[in-house]
Amino acid sequence: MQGTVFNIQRFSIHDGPGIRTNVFLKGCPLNCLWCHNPEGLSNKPQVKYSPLKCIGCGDCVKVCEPKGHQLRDGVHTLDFSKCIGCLECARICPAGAMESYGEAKSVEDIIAEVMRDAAYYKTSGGGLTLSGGEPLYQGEFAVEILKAAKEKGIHTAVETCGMVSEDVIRAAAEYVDLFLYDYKITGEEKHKEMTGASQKQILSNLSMLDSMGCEIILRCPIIPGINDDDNHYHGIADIANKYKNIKEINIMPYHTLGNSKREKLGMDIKYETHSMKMTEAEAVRDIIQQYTSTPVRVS
Amino acid sequence: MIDYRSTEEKFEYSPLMEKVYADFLKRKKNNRTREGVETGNEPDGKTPFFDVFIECRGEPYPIKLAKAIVRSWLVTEPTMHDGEVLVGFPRPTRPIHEHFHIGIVRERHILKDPAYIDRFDELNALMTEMRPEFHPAEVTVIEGEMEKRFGTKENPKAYEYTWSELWSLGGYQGHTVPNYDILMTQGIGGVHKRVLERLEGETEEKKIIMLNACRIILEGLRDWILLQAECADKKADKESDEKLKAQYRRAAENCRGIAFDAPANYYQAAQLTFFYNLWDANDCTGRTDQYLYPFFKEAIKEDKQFAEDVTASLMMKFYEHGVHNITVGGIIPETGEDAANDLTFLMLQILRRNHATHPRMSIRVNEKSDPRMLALAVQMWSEGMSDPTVASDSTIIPAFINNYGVEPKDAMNYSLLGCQELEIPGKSNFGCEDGVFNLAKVLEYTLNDGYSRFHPDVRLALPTGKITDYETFEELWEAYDKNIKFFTKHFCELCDIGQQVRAINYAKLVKTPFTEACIEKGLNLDDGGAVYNYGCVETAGASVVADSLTAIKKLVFEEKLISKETLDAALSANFEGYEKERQLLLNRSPKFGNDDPEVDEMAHRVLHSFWSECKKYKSIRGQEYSGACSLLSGGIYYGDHTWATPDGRKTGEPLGNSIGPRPGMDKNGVTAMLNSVGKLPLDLGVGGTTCNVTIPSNLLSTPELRQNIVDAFNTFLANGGQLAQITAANIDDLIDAKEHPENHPDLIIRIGGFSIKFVELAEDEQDEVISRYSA
Repeated sequence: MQGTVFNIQRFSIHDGPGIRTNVFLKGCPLNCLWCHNPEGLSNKPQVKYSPLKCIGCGDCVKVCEPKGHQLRDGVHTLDFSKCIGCLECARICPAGAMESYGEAKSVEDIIAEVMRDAAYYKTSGGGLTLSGGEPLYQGEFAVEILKAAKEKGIHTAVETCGMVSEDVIRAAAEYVDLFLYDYKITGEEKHKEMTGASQKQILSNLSMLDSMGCEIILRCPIIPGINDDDNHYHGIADIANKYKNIKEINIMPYHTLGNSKREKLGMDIKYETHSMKMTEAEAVRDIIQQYTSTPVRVS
Repeated sequence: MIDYRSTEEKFEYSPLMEKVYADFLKRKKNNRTREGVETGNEPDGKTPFFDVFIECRGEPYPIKLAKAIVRSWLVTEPTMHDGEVLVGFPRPTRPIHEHFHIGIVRERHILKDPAYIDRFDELNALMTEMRPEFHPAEVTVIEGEMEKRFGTKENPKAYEYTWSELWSLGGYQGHTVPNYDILMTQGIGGVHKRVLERLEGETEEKKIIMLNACRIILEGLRDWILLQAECADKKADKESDEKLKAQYRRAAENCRGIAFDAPANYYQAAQLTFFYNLWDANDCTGRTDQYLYPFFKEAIKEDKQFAEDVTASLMMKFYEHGVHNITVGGIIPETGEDAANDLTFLMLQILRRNHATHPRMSIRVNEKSDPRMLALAVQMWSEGMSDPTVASDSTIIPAFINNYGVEPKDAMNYSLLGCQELEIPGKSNFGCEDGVFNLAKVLEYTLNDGYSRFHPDVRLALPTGKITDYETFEELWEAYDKNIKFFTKHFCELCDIGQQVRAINYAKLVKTPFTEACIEKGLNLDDGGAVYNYGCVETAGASVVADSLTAIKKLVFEEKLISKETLDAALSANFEGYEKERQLLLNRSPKFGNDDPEVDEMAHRVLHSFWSECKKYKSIRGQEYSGACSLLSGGIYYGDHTWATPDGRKTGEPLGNSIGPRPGMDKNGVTAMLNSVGKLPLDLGVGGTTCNVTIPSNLLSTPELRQNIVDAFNTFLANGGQLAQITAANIDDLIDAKEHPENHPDLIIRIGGFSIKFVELAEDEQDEVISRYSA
């Protein structure tokens, strides 16, 4: 079985216990204004263009049927609106200026890559983390990867926004040791406005996972100007207080890398603000910690 | 400090030691010294070293040398600083040069010292005369031999091209770890007695002379220790504070107790360790936590504060004199149990408290090790230190036993020395290091019909053809391998000549009586006197050759993306006008250090071909040459002298650092890099192969994250890794430190085997470190 993967990142030590390999699956049902992995939003293959790496050889011009690449006086330009996602330019580019996001990979290939660090998982209690995009957006594929990882005896984690069908998340839960579950916005209307979707499914899935006894870490991106307010901090604490299997709250301070990636992917920037300083994040942590006994940490 | 094994708690000096340490730091600041270490100058206008050679003209060279060493020490006025517990300062300059280099004849530059200037002509003539009588022992002997082998009619000095580009040989540093166990159990007198016994009935003149030279050294050491006692007594006489007076008097008594006899307690043991170490040019002290522990164990029960003060004082003395490498932890050879003890942890804690670059420390890790030892190491890295280095017992011990015939008990007792080399302490002369060999240059010759691209006038390698002449990849490999065999033979034979020169110079008279078997054999340490006598060949350029051969195999022979002619032209032009080809070579072929099976296998093949070839040759000391890869800035030096390579590297760019990937080529995370290194034939690299790892400081910021780093290194060491040294640094700090060195005087990083202040590096070295970090 094959799916669309946009990155496999080894020696990840911030997304679950121990030393881990993160596998990033493409496609997401939400469209958060601040998304830090915009290359994971679309489920279609995409190219990223880094102008600083371009040597102006023009090879991409020759392979681009829709004529999105142009070379004038040795200067290369790319019209993203013409891109059909064939990835030919990324395949041919000698300099790595064009990179592809969204390779078709089989479950076996992924597991083989993940298991290269098996010895490290054994020592550290680590394993695989599925991330994205929304990893469960490619539901069946994600479940197959998790199942294969459990067969290898390694720890599994899923970083999810929760906006998936109950069936998929229930099927996944059978092979998941830890859910890193996003809680982004407090209030249905605001949630719709900022992420493009209702919160209802997300909250009911969270409730279900808790009742199934799944271990959960609540992950809360804090975006200055969007959700850095007391109402939301109370909202976070309320969720954590409500569900007994949420063992920890992670504060994820906003950084601007998502926007610089958007530029390289030819996507419009939807929201701009400053990167949060560590001291600011720690202040948020301390406020939320006043409202709940669940440990709050900056991640 | 209640628990030495804690990462939470920190060691604190007693008020007395706190003051001694502060005074030491003040002194240190004002001194211009080797590696920031204070060395005493000989008294103005005196030339004790030369005087002996004049006075004793008729005597054999080794006797004159021994007397000259002793005289230099005896005329150096001892000093005891306020509050000190241990005595021993300063050291004279000349015997140190004698000790580390090929012999006094190479030290003509000392004649430029203002103290000697008005006697220049006389002393210059004397230096020539000071050569050992029975051999014209100069480095020119090697050069003469090279001229015969590589000179041509048109250019007799063509061998100089190999000297600057391909290798350096025969001029080693000479690090070994003497036998401190013998020093602790027999004392100076015990060894002296064995020398006298050995002399009885010996008829061979050369051996009689050598043994007598050892005798002179031992007696000189005894006399010098008594001078140190006098110095402490004088200090006591002048002291008005009763407590300090008693302390100095005790120090004097302590010295007298060990001038000839074996130490009876920890105070004596630590003082004797330091005295001998000072005479040993502050070379590596081996498994210091092991041979001192029996004494420490008793001392800590009797008077914990004093035992700590003595340990702190010893570490401070080691710092003051820049001791190279102390090895702690590991296993106890007799029982196979974890060797880490309270002293192991106390020494690490004191180094941590000092946040110092010296003494450099290494921990030996195995499956039985107390996990708190590696945890403490990671804690120290997270606090911005680069020590300790970590070494793998499970990789190193079997390699010694299986490939180099070392007795299991001796193998279990291995220690680090020099920068990152390995040896059996007190029993070996591993020729640290016999030479350095640049594999990337051999590839350059092989792709260019035997010529260096810098020197098209002289063919130095075999006429195997150019890149355009090879029909298959295997043809290219065979040509490369043929050149490796060709140069390895020359290399080992030329190293032998260097060793002969050293043996004749008797440059190890202090180490010799304290190295097992030397007295029994009646041979000098450099003359094959030790039990184990392997050679040690530092290897440069392995990752560049592996990356280059893989790129040729894949892009030229298999995928035919680049033609052989184009590659030849691109290399010849140093990629000027061939940027596209260079980018393809950089980006379309895997690079060593990313856990890629194809290129990692190539790296294995490259190292195996060279190191197994080295193993076919025996040094004149009696045993095989072993591989090593712990270059200081050698990767930069040889990079400077290696033309553009088919991995996309331009002329002059650095080669890989030590056993790791070329800077910036590892893009797959720490575990992938460690996996790549763990696959190499490190069992042939018992000379020591260091993996430099840079860890972003934000990955060390919490206990949980630090535990992951502990786990990562435990896994590496248990799965074929040998040595690793760590730089934890923030990239922004490094860049800022380059711009504003004044703001970062204490930023310590690792380069090769050295912990060094970043601001003390040359600009290209700083860039290399930054590029390594940026990966």
